[in-house]
Amino acid sequence: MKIPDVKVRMLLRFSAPLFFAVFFLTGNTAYAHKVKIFAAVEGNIISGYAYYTSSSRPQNVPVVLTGPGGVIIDELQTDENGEFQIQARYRIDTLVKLDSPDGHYAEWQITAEEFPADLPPLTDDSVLKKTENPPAADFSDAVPQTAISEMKLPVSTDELASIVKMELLPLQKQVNQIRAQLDQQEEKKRFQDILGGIGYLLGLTGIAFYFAAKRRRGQQ
Amino acid sequence: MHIADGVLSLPVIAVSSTLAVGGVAMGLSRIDYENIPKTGILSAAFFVASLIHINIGPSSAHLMLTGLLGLLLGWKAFPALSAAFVLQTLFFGYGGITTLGPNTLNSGAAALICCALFSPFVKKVKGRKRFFWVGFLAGAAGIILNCFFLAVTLYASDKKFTATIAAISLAHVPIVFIEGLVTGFVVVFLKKVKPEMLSPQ
Repeated sequence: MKIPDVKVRMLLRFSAPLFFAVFFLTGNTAYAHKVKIFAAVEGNIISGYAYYTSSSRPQNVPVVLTGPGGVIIDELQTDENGEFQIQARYRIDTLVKLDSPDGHYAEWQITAEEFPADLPPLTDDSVLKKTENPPAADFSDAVPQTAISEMKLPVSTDELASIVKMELLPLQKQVNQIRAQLDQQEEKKRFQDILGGIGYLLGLTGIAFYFAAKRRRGQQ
Repeated sequence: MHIADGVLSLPVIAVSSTLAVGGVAMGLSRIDYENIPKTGILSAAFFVASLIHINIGPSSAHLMLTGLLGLLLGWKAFPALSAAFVLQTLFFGYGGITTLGPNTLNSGAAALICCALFSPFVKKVKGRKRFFWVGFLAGAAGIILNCFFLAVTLYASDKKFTATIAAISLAHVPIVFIEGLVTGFVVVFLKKVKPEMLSPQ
């Protein structure tokens, strides 16, 4: 069995300019196609953005918020920066979906715990009516009433709750930023994946050689 | 120019997947010891080229190298394309598992037609400039045919895709020229340094 080493090497050499041509011509490029969406709750606002697996972001694409069982809570669109923002109305597991007309789809899950405790849970008849003003704050969930009243604090329960909330807000923002970064980091693995893909294909080529060599030996 | 999962109707997926499997089988039966590296390397070239997107206005498009694959590989373009599509789907969610067949068929058929149309000229044409134009036309035709097959697949699935088809076609007008240029330069280069590679055998 004689492996045509020179031939393989020559072919590899000649294919190199092809790769360079591709990279050169596409110097100012962006990886795109796969679309992703990120959303987080800050205070009473659900905000987020959609992005292609690059820096570019889809504009004016419909975003749908659905609750458990696929109940549509809100429908909106991304703005010029691919961002969106909407008042949170219910404290329920919310699925933020991007479904663009050209077949791109992405989703992001927000769990009920991420919403402020003062938001009402979703009931069957509450879906259709949009509350203009969110209901008055009720911190009974967040702060255990009995424990506080026993302590006889110099501030009222409501005041304490709002202080805690204010203190936590910057922290929540930071956590959201980190979550967004983590999500994007996932996509940054692409270059390694591309190299991995080339490796796979070259590996397949090797396997093909193995079978071809076997066939050839069989013929001899 | 990849179709994602959940876009096509079941009959379209079934028919085109069957045809794609036939194409891959035809291609595999034509692969022999000498042209394994060529097939593997062009598969890798397609894998990389079609991952890199060029922003064109509000949209983006990417090179396909369909014409080049057709000229260099003929039927063997089918296995080369399908291997690259599988990896793109698994690694990047690009295209889809159920649409592997339709995507392979669309690009493979475009490559095969390019091979049938332009390979005779590759053998006959003399002179660098003319040869460049053969390559240019093959590259351009590859994208146009690929777009055409994509449009047929989408339209056969759902007639509502007319607007999408128009948008995709429009986005690929610049790519037709870029792909033509790339293919033109590559074939001129290959003709000079490795002319036997330009045969789809």
